[in-house]
Amino acid sequence: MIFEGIFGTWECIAAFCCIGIMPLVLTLPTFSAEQFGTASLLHILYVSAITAFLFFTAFKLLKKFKEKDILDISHFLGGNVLKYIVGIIIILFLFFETFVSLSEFTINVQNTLFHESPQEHIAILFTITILISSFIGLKGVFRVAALIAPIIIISFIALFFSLSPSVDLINFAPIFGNGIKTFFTTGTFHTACFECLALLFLLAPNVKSISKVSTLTFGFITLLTAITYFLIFGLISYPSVTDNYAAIYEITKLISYGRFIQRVESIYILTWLLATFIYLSTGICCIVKITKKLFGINDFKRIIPAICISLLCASLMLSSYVELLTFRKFLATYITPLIIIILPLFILTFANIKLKHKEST
Amino acid sequence: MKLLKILILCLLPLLITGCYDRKELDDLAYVIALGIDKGENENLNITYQIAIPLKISGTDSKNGKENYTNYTVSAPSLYLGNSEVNTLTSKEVNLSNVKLIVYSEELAKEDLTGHISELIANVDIRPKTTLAICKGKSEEFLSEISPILEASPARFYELFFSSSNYTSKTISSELIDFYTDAQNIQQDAHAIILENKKEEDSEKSSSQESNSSEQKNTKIETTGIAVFNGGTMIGEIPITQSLPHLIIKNDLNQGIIGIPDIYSGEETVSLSISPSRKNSIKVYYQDSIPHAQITAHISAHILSSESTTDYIDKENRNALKESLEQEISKQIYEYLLLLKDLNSDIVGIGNYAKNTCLTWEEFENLHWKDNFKNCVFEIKTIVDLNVSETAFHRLPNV
Repeated sequence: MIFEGIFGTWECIAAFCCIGIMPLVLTLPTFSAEQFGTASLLHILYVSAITAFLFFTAFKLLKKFKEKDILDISHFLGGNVLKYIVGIIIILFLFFETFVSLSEFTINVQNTLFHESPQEHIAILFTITILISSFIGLKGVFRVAALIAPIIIISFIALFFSLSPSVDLINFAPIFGNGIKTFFTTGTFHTACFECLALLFLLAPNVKSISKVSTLTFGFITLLTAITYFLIFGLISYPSVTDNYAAIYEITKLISYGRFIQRVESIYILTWLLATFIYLSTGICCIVKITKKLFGINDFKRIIPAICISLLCASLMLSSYVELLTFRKFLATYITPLIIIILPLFILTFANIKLKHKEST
Repeated sequence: MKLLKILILCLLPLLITGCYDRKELDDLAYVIALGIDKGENENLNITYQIAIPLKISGTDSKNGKENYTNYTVSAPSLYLGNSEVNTLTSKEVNLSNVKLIVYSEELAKEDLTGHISELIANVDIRPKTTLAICKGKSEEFLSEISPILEASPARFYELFFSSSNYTSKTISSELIDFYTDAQNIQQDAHAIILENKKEEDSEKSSSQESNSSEQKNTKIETTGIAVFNGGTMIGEIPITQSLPHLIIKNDLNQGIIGIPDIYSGEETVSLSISPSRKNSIKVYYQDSIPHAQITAHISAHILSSESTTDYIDKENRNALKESLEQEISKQIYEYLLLLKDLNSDIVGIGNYAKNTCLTWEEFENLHWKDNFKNCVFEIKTIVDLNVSETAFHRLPNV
């Protein structure tokens, strides 16, 4: 077990929902627009079906390894060598994901709210929050998420009801956007919006019911993603939608009810800030706990400040926004599907074969 | 000890936030309208219309020109203009309350794409801000505006430009729509054309204004629809064509239409119209020529009639319904012919041409913008006619 204790079902679903909206708030819809054009919404539905199949296959394979996380299973399959390789890959992936998200969100917050504050100050604010939450532990973070998630889900539903009357369905034509080949080949593994589900491979022994958590989380994430894509692509026609790298922020600026309710984007930014807090804290907590398990560190709390400072430095390293977007795109397109689906599926499949072979002999 | 540590950590972020860059509300000058003209040496002449809150608030608030002041600067871009105007005003200008952006016709005939991108990129400017083109210089246009019936010029603009919600005699023109349409290959952009009309106030008594001759009021008026190709203005259509524009774009909320009486042909029957459901627009290709089938669904109510014809009678009502259907179809057709002549699809029929394709590449190969001038239109209007209760009592012979 990487983590101690048992997490409640709602706590897990809530935390995963908070983590799941982060790619939507950041640049994922724009990357989809660049790659799939007007077919982005259809593509999300297609990818949801594929992801559902792959994840539920993986979770079925995981059922045979009760009380074991992906590192234990790697150890069972390939001994310490595989355990270290998988552990280090996951740590690096989490670190890159976390620092890129921190950097991207910091720049977005600077552009929208704090024009005159230096980027470093905003990043430090986030880092201090993450530092505190890492000391409190993942259970505390998940409990906070249980309070935040309803606000986030309600805010997305409110977004849908406020803006859906202005959606023009004609914006979703041509239905295959930038080409049938792109849609079905390169688009098949664009699963970055479901990355939160992969956390279940680490948290499996700490979750009461994996099937319940995974099904409900998948349902919520698909709903939130579909709402976001439906609104973004229905309101801003292609190719203009590719111009903005915070498309969801742009559409919240269109909300107004008469003269009284205007500029509600500030409320949305607040909910996204809360989600970012959950996302970054979960990332750091996972890095700390995996490091502890891999290298047998007893007093793991001592490494928290070091990891947080590394995260802060790394987030400030990418000075140019263009550089950051290129890196994010590479990570979301090529690395994320490999780490969140292919790697666990590969390990679980061979571990199951090994288990079967062991049982038969 | 643990609690103390957490407390110290929680207090730490407060040290980072400072108040050195704080901005008080009354330290800012709120720009309510921006006017952009072509200047000298590739520069722009940017006019900032700034509200004077002290004159708007209070019991003795007045309408008219006293409630705002204009500053004009010459700069190559809006951002540089902002810093220029900050040297002229005692307060820092803030663009978060801009309600109107006006470009001069001269500048619009060059290219607005770059300017609009700059406005959209500005976080302070709302995407739904009204965008308009004015005849002559926008500097003069903004300085002549005299809000009537409303003390706050910002509210005056807001109410004035929202009139398309309750009348079919004008259309809405928003920055975000212009920005997206100007970039699209399936649609062209449009904006409203504004003019200041001066009229003599006959009611002004000589005793009140003994030393001045005749007082002249300036009234802002929407006179046309500016038609664009990309970001360049290529022509204009009179605002009298606003009804077909609203119908095709599914933007009609409610409007009034007058048609001649079915028998006499002289008296007018007034009807209120609103969409009964969304239009159905279908585009298909025949021998490489695009055909657009447009079916408008209108719900109409007879408001009043100057004639003695009994419109409660089913036959008369059906005849009026047919006449109304023909009238609306005719207006739509004539409007589309005007657009065809300008080869600019500002109503977005190209959006429906996308339905004929599976991929974006296929649609690009249709070269919609080049082919729009060849488009054949088939217009049909389906009217659901009712006699309103008020009209029922007023109509003759009832």
